[in-house]
Amino acid sequence: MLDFSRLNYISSAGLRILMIAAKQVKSQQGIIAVAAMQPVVREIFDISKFTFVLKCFDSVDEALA
Amino acid sequence: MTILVRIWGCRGSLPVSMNTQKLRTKLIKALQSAQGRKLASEEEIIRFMDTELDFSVSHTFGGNTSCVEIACGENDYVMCDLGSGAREFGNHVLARESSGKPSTFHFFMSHLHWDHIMGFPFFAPAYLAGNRVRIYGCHPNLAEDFNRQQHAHHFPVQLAQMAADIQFIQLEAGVATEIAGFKVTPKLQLHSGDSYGYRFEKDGKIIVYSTDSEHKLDQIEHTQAFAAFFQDADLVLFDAMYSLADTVSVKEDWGHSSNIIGVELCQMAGAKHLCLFHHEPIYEDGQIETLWRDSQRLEEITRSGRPLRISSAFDGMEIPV
Repeated sequence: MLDFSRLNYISSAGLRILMIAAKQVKSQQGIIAVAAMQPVVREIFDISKFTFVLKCFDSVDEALA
Repeated sequence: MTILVRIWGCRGSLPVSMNTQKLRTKLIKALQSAQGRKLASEEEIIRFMDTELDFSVSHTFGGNTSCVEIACGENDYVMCDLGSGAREFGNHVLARESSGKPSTFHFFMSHLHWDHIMGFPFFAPAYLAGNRVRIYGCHPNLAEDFNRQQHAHHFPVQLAQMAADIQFIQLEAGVATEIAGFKVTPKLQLHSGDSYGYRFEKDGKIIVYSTDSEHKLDQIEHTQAFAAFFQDADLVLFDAMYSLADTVSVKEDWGHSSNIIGVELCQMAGAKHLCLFHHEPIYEDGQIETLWRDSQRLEEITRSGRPLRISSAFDGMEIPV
């Protein structure tokens, strides 16, 4: 689980690396989740449609529940 | 001098058409929005359509495949690609050129996939003796592929039977050439079988045509090379076919790009205007408008210098540069 609460921007290169990591984790029967995104980062996730391909949670607590 | 860029075909992969159901849906939305309004004159109706209706209700992005005119007010025509939009462009030229004076057409080919060449058999000026058609590209098999498209198995008229003087001219990626008053520089792009973008420069104006091009922005050299190719462009026509999530997951290596990459590359390059192009054929007008608005919002929240204008190509669109 990635705590994004202190991340205030992510570029397409960053998103692509996240996707590469997610594929590697998936091959080992795991999943990557992202939690506590700031509004701008959440908007970038929405615009890029990454919310459809990565599990996203509003908070770290929710992700760990 | 203003250069006018006209979009004759903006759709990717396959032409699409407006059908009755889609038209009626737009009409219902428009009439619902107009309820209680007094729209007494045509001018009032047009103003209402242009200022109060969503773009995707008052317009359609259109369905012809890639074909773009770069008009500079001279006798020669400078064009990018020969998708199905070339049919309408050719008919427009014939209607305009009533004098019967021969014309020269310069077509710059991004690549030879079907959606980029399918308009040529229907390009009426190619059937008229006296006209000159020059087809430029970096692929080594230009003539062969155009001949194959019009083989008797596929089309009733062969290329050799078209009456215009048709020639195929090989260009080299990275090498600038003066053609029809433009300095034209092709660039190799990542796409199945390769594709090429073109940078057109004339009188201080820069127009970049870059479609069917995949980008991997974590590869720094690739990114820098495209930022340099787009550098200070007045207009970049950019392949925004898929979402970023698609291009790095299920549609990775399909050879196309996204609106997000377009915004980032244009921001890096200091370009002035990004025009989203090569729309996904399964997208309805409303989805393309959403993608356009999302791109404008992304530009706002990531802007660090001067604003980047973002538009979404539609058939019939004219962009003064």
